[in-house]
Amino acid sequence: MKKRLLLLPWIMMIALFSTSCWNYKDVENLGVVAGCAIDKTGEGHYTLTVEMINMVVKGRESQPESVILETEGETILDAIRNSISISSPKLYWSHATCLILGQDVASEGIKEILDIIFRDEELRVGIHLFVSEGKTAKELFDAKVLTAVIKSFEIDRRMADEGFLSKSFPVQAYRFIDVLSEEGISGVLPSICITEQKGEKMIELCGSAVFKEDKLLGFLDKEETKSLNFILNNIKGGVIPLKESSDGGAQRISLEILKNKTDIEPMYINNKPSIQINIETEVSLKELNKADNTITQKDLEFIEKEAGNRLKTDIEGFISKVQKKYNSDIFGFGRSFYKNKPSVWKKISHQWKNIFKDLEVKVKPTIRIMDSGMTNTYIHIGD
Amino acid sequence: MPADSNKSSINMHFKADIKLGKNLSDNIFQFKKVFQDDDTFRVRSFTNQKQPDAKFCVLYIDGMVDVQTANRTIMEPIIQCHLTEKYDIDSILNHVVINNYAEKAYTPEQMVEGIIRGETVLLMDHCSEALIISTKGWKSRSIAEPENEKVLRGPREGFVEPILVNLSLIRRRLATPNLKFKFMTLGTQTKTKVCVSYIEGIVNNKILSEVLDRLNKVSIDSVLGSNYLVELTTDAPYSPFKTIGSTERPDVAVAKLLEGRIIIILDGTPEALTMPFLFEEYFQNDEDYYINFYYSSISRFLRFFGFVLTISTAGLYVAFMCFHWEMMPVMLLVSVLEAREAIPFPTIIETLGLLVTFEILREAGSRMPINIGQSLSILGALVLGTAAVEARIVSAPVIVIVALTGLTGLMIPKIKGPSIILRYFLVLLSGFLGLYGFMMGSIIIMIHLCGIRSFGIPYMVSFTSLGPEGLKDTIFRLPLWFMKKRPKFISGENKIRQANGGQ
Repeated sequence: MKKRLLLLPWIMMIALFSTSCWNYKDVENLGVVAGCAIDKTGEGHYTLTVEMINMVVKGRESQPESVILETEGETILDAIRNSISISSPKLYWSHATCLILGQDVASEGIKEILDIIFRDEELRVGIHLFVSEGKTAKELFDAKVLTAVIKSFEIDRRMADEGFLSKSFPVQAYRFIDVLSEEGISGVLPSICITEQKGEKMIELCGSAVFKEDKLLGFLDKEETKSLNFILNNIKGGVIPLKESSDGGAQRISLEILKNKTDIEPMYINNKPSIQINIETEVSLKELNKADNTITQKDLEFIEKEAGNRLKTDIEGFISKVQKKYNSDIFGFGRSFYKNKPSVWKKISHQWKNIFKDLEVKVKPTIRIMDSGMTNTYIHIGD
Repeated sequence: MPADSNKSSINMHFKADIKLGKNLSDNIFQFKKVFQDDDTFRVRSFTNQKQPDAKFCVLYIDGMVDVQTANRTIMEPIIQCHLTEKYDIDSILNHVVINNYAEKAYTPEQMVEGIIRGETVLLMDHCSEALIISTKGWKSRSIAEPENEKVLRGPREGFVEPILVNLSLIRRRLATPNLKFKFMTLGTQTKTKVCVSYIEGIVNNKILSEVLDRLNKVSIDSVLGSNYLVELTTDAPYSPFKTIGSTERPDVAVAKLLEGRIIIILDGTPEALTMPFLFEEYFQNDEDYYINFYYSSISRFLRFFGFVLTISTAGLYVAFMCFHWEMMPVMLLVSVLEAREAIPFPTIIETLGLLVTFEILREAGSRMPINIGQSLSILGALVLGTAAVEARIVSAPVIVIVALTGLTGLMIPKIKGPSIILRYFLVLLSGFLGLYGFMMGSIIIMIHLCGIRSFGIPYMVSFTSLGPEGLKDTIFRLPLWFMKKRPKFISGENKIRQANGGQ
């Protein structure tokens, strides 16, 4: 009995000490990394430009401050560890929100970067990936952002609001890795660049970057990215602007997207694969001016048709551009065959590259105007 | 065994001193010798007005007797009555003394004890016997609302020190002859009256005999407060949790009796002990049953939640701040970083230090007169709180955490003791091992709670037993019509509370 009683504290002790890492560390001893840009030097070394959150004590208050530091190494981890010799608190990566890849790095392949994200215990697989459209990624941290102190956090926050615009889209590292390992689809990452505003350099989200396997091929602009979002069923909101010039001069119309559902339908007719994209979009009428003051059913139908045409031309033009210029299946047409028509996919997968180039794609948009905002008339201007 | 030895030692103590004879002055002298150096002992000799030879004497202790009663019921009738030639102690008892409680005492020990308890002993010349006449009449506090168990609705009466007043408070609420009061005397020196009370039929006889058994084993010189009994008879003496409850409210005591519990009242303590005591009783409050069940459920739940918060907030804070930064949202991390910047102490020292400071403040405040208490709270709040943060000695989040801990800890005064101990326990474990330590600590607490029993009833039985019956009055207080039966294990044969409770 006594032996058993002694055993109990013994078991508890073992349980206490076998809980892996012991790391009591006060929170102020962390060099919290907010974001990071990766470039390559001439010799093929990695250069990491890290945005770190530093606290400055000003009298009784202390404020966060963005500190940019640059570190170089043969590999990524080497570079991360090398930072210890130039800055004091050891870098802490769990709260890093964005990883910006330089153009050079991206076109040489980002497999090893994805690997350390997946393997390291501090870096999160949910980190947002970007590709810099400029020459290097580190110059982005020289640019300004408008509201936040920490630049990476503002970029991250913009991604959260992206649903109202749909001209970019957040890609988390694990999603990209998923896409890489899947058949019949290629990856896309949002791109980021510097623009000038009032003589100052500003960070801008400017579309997306097309990949084939893990290598960068080229960039898409914002409108193209929006079309891509329509195809990938990524649309959560956004605007369809229309310029209508029917009766009584030109008028501009805004349709705000409420809901969108895109369905990619693979078809195989007479041994010829083709794709039909059904887009069902529910919109709300937001901006409109017209001479008389009622909206008739005919008006609505006309607008719906116009918007549909606009989408159709935009998207079809975009697809053929990607087919010709990049020949990278970023839409996942191959995957839709793989999922819906596996027997067909078996036959065509080995020559998918060639097939994709000339694949016939039909876009069938259906736009439905659900409401006309908070009013059902026009603003009438009397003399 | 111990009880017997008590009695014999008491008897021996007095036997040596007094041997009553026929001579009155000799007898008085012997009593005076017993109460030597006790200046409150009074002796008053007098005679009957018709027969000056009939000498009498009253012995009492000043302050313990009601002088009016003694005069009116003993001296007045004896002095004024027409004594016949033949009179003896029985005729005095039966025809002269006008008092509802008077009896013949045969042994000197009875007489001495009577005098000590505030009774008057009447001695008569040529007689070796005496009368003990009830004249108890010391001053005591009037019935007031208990300070520690205040309610917004419900009776305002609280127990007071004299045991008989307390028993009357209970009896008035329970008009059944099944309500039993069993007296016993504890404490070799204090000889405190202890009353064990229960309702026959509702009480579980096994528990009752266990209670009586344990009380009989108590052998101590004094029982000054109810905690003496709690510590000597509790099931888990080393546990921070108590297994014997206490209340200052007669309505609570009656409710406990009706659940089949046993209550013990000590003379001189404005408190009733209730047993068995289970974990959920910490969180129950008589007001819960006097207000709407929605509101009482909310406050019951808040009390449970408050207990969880008060023991765990500080520990969790330390764990998150020192081990699990990755589990904090980014903006929280940034604001915590802001607060922690340039603070000289590590988080664990900072937290422990402030927790101790809070306990010091509380301890200082609890026995402070009200007017000094105000300056104390200013000192505590201003100097320790604001100034310490502004001087960057401690960080603001710790102040918030400690304030939350303290506030939630004050929610249930009854569970104050355990929550202080468990709080430090969890903080130390968290500071040592982070969340692992915290979880380990919580598991140890749960195992401990499930391991305790109170008079044979498992402490957590209402939470752990299958079936909804026990849960109806725990975290939430269900409407009264749901609680048709008395607690299953505590009560005896009579289990039905309401008319259709059996169905």
